[in-house]
Amino acid sequence: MERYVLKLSDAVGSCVRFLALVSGLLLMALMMLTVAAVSLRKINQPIFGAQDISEAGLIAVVFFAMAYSGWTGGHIAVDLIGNVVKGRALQMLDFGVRLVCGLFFIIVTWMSIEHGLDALEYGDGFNLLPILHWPFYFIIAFGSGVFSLVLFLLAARSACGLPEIKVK
Amino acid sequence: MSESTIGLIGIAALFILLALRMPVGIVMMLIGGVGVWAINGSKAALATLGSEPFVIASNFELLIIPMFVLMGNLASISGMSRDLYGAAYAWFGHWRGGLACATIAACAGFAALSGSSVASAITMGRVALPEMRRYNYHQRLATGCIAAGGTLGILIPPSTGFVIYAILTEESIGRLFLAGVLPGLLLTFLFMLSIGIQCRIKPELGPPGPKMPMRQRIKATGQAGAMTGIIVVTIGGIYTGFFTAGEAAGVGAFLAFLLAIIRRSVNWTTMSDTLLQTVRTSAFAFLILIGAHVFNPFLALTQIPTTLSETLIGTNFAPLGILMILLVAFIVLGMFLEGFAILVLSLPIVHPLIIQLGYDPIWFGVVMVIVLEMGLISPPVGVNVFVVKSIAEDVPMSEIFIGIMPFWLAMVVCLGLLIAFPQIALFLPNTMIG
Repeated sequence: MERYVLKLSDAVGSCVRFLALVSGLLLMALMMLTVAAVSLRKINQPIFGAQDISEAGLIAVVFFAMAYSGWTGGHIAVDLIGNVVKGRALQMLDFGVRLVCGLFFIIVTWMSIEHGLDALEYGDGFNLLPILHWPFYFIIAFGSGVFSLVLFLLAARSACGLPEIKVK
Repeated sequence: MSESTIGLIGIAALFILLALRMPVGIVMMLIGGVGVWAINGSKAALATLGSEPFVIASNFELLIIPMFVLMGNLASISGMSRDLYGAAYAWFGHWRGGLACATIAACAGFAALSGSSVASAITMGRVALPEMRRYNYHQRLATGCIAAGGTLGILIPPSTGFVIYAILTEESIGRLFLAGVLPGLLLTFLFMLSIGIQCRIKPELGPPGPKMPMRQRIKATGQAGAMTGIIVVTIGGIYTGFFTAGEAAGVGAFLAFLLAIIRRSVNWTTMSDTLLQTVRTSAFAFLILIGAHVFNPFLALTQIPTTLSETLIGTNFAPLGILMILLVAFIVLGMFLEGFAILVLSLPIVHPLIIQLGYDPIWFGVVMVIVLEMGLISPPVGVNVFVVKSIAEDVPMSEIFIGIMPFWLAMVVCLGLLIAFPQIALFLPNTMIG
């Protein structure tokens, strides 16, 4: 069991890191867009729909990085019980909490797909540009789905007594 | 079961799950979702869970969070922290306790580039601690000033604390940023004053360093010029209405990126680390905001905020008395809960009350951020203390906490001054253009 969890950890770790890098590169692109939009607006040549692009891009930035943040312990928690409960008991507690979180994020994934399908049916879109909402609901669903997978894997690591993932 | 009872059960469950180490953002989403389900049925709850992630993640104003985080991280890799410390060191280093003052001044400068207290403490700590050790500074003063100086990160704009406050209360991010400038400078001064008093009483705490000639001081100041330029462009741009806070963030990040390229600090490794760190921090901030936007409607449905406001106002306490109760409660909470958690959990209840009491919400935002700063250096879970401990592993926690106390008292003085003279916070936002 432990061997499979470790193997899966390597694969998932690389995958969420790659997604987070994509998120970072998208953020750099949004930074460039912001600078261009401000500069061009000052010479009365505003970029039409720059805000729409930023809003759509921000969704991808956030949800491509959600799983990486979870994988590397970035989502803050209040560590009061860690001073009282230690060792195996704490790992089993983490197992339970992560399992619940993973199950909950399956619901979020499912609801995002439902909303995406609704947006597809009704043709909802952003304000100025003809960018439709539905692909971005599916990006949220994808990001949430990967996050829930990460939470299950972290739960499995706790159950196997494997150490927490460290980040630089 | 009444809505208020469901609300109270929800709040109790929230604290239990938080104590069990469930991430703050997920707890709020979970309790908010279940709570809305209990009051308005499954359809409403599932609709909230499906829509809020999209609403928050596509909020243009929130682009400011990853952009300013990116700016701070780029400033770190381009060596600006070293320049800042060098400039402050050149001017204050020869005073008694001067290196500690230089650390505080450099922390204040770095805070203007980074919205995070932890980032400020870790970045400046790595630069300043070895220098203070070299000049035989007492470990209490050395570690205490780094932990306290780091807290300026969330008071001096850009500040992620202000962004979250602004989003949850629908206040202007730009006005909140400007409101933080003068209190931030005041607190910097009070921290330095506290160092001066400590070293006057016990000179061995901070022996003076060598005095630098004027030419060297000017040179060191010039080296920090690029960083000053970025601060002037971003904060000045917001003040003059040249661009919005979100645009300022994008431009600031771009300038920091440009500077990092010019200084040849950018390569694939540093850049990928910077990007990963940036999106990691941003994702956690967004998860908390999504959680807050699922939890807050539930709390509103329970009527608990309204009832609590009416009860507190009905006690006939003076507004100042109620404010004091709130601040003491926040300080106590800050000893156990993470600052952002306090912000998102308490604002739906406290913000309407503050408005009803006649206080300015922008001013209250500043007061609240200072109280959160106090939590960052309060035992037993002061995050900045753990950050300093990670840099100064040989210094016992008790020593760091003792070293922090004078700075903690300086924060109390700052709070008192802000309550007595709210104009300190409100002057700049009230005179901003645009």
